[in-house]
Amino acid sequence: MQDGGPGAARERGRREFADLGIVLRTHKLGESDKILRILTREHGKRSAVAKGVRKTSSRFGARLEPLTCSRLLLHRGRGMDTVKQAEIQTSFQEVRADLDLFVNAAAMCELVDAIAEEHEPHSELFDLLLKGLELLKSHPQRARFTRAFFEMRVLAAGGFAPMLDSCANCGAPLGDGEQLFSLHRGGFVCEGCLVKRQAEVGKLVRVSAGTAGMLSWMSGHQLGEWPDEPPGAELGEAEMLMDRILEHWTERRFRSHQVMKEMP
Amino acid sequence: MTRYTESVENLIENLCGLPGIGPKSAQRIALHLLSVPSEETDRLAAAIVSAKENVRYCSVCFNITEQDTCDICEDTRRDRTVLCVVEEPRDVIAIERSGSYRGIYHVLGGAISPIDGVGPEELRFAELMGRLRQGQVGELVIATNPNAEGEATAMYLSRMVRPLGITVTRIASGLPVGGDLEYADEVTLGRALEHRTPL
Ligand SMILES: [Zn+2]
Ligand SMILES: [Zn+2]
Repeated sequence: MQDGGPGAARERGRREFADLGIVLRTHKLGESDKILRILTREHGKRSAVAKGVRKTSSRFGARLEPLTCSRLLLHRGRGMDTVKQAEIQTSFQEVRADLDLFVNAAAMCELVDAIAEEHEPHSELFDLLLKGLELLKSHPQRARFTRAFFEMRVLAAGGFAPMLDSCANCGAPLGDGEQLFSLHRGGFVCEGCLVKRQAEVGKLVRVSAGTAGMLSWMSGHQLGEWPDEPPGAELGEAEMLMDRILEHWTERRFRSHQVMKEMP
Repeated sequence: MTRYTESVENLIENLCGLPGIGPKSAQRIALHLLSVPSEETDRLAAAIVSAKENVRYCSVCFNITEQDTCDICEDTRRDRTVLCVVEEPRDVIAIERSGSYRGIYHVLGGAISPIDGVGPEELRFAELMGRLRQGQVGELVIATNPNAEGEATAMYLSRMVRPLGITVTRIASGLPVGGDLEYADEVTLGRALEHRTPL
């Protein structure tokens, strides 16, 4: 043993832990370091310093690039952790190597970063993100659908599943045509409620019957399933509504959504 | 914690937050500055003020310069048919140090990072497209960093520039010279194999 006796080893053992982690985002720190925001499977969202990672000679290489799912050995610090070791489990290089996939993946990571509490274990969220990234990789042509579907599942996992099958205000069954989504109520609202209690439904977003059907399908299925009827024109409207719901829920605008609009 | 006098606290506060400088280093630097002769601190203060006054971005390539256009853009011996795109002025210095490049540059001022809200509109893409449309450039060398943001920037650029009929190349990435193969991660090694060259 090089440094210290059994006592030192025990102390290290207390402060070091291993876990799977997905790199959500990175920030430059100093000359050659980075601060990583990582969602770990068992230890929640963490901030960790990766020393020297920006040097071309860094032993980390591409192991801590955004989106990478790695087996990590982290050292618990007072404010931030330090990455001691990293081994790639899934690199998601294919996702980073495609501009559209990368932007969609960045939006998924931004959402996770916005809602995950620091150090609060949230393995369901981890599994959703991993699944979402795997779907981007395996079905690149379904990227937009995957992101909207992922967002729906994240809302449900957070206890905010939208009410889509009956009126979010009074519970009455909804008609078959186009629907009005109340951001305030978190679901579609019926005609009757619109007439009677205008003030309580707040801002409304109008969507077509096709979009309402797609969203309702998403809320009843698991990420990775694929509808019998492949999504068509209604996808754009579904994406728009999901973005509005997320902005309302998290009370923030998503930077990656803005950048997505600038893409050719 | 005992506090220093107001002007010392003010100095520490101003140093703290500079790249790579935390509260502890800020305190150490401040106390060091107070311990040296005032000629030295005057020189430092004057250097900061003069750099800030004289240094600006080149009106053509956005490299750092003290004139309207930088030395590289002024140099008539440089090959104007090859244009190298980099993220930051210090990347120009790194490439110049290699001695392997004789073309001209364009400094974007960063790289595309959707999660940080940095898209094409936040970078100097419009200025680059303007330069390319003048028709002199035949090859665009993309030398953004070999990381996720640098690659996204390269993909965006190639999408925008290819329709102009300009050859778009990307600097090679793979194993660092001087390292051992066995320490390479699978992504780096995969890229090295993908971009292997005939001997
Ligand atoms: Zn109702
Ligand atoms: Zn210049």
